[in-house]
Amino acid sequence: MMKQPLGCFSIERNKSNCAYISYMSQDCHKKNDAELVLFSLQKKEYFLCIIEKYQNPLFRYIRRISGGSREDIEDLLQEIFIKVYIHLTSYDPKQSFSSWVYRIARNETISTFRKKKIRPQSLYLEPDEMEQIAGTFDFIKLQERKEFGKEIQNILAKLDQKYREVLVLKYLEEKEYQEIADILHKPIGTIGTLVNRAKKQFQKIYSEKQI
Amino acid sequence: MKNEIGKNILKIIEAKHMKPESKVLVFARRSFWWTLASVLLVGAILSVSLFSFLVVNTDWEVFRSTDTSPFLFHIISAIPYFWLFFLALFVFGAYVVIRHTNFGHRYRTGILAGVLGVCICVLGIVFFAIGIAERMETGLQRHVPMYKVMDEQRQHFWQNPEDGFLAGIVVGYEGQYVYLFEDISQKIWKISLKNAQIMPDVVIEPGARLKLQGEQVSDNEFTVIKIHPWFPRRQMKEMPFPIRNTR
Repeated sequence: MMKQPLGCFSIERNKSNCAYISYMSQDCHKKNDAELVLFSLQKKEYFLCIIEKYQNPLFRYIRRISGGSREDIEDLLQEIFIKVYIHLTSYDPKQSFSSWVYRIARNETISTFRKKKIRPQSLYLEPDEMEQIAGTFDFIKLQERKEFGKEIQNILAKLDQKYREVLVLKYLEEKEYQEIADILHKPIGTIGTLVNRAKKQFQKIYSEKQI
Repeated sequence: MKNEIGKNILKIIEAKHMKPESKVLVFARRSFWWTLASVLLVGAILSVSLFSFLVVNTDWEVFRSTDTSPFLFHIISAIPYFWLFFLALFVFGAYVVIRHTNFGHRYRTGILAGVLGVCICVLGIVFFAIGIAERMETGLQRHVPMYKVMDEQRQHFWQNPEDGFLAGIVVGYEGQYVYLFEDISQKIWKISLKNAQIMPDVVIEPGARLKLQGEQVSDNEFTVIKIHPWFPRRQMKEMPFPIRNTR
């Protein structure tokens, strides 16, 4: 696989950035994560493919777990991708690349926001995301789901971090239990327990607000 | 945002001449964690083997035949807590380190704890059976003064001459059947071995650690009725000693 010609990356460096990136983007979509990792290790320009693929999902994920501003998250994303690049060799293909990248993003986010001593007051969620998460809780009535959107952001922000992150991963990022276990580096049984406890804590805060 | 972050990152990578870590470094880091886990597991296995050795070599028959204290008291006082503490420490350390490895979180807690527990116990007993525990115990007592003191404290049942129990070390020869004996509190006794019953594997010579059952006849004299080796079930090697019983 590695003996394949690098295709678009043989393009001269002095060509315009736009042409370079757009040409490369077409090539990115044909390759899976494991191939992109291998090519990035050979030629760093391929790493742009990984960045393109993951910058938006990671941006949303970080915003969901941290409640940080756009500027903060963009700075953080830069640090995360640099870390991913430096540690590319430690990626083990037995694990999904997405889980591995999410794990790095999660650890960096927690440590950055812990250093800044920021605890989110409210998390930014898109209206459809609010409905999506409200829909996972049976105790929120159907007609309340739209109205309750704003409250959901506040409740999520009030949850313990360990509960907030499993709910975000399960219901917003729509990750499987095994992926969540790989991201949080916890046994799969613990993830099930955390999801149940998170729902209970969410319900408790929700009920208190209703009163 | 699209492409901007990517371009910036590539610029930074180029400007700072960043490169992915070398495979050797990654391999070394992974090996470090597995080596650490192995070392901790060996520590746990040795703890089990030394624990077994000390428990097996406790004088249970003597405890049962005396009515100085309840048997339960002897059980509690004879447990080698030192090795129990180290066993817990090593097992916990190994568990944490294994969990820290790449796929360590994927093992179910019950299965991981069960496999670790069974392996540590089985290998610990094997180490004890093939004599590794005894060699370690002897080495530790010889080279680590603190360990020797701790072992003597564990044997405090034997530091009770009024009730007929004395433990210590033979320090000299006084005459026929009379030896000088230093007890755990470093008091020197004249012990008379005439008519003493010598238990199997007992060797009496200066430097030998023994446990004596008998009767205190004066402030520093003790008539011995039964002589026990320090470790009742150890395998003594044949050596030319003045008095021996290797039935």
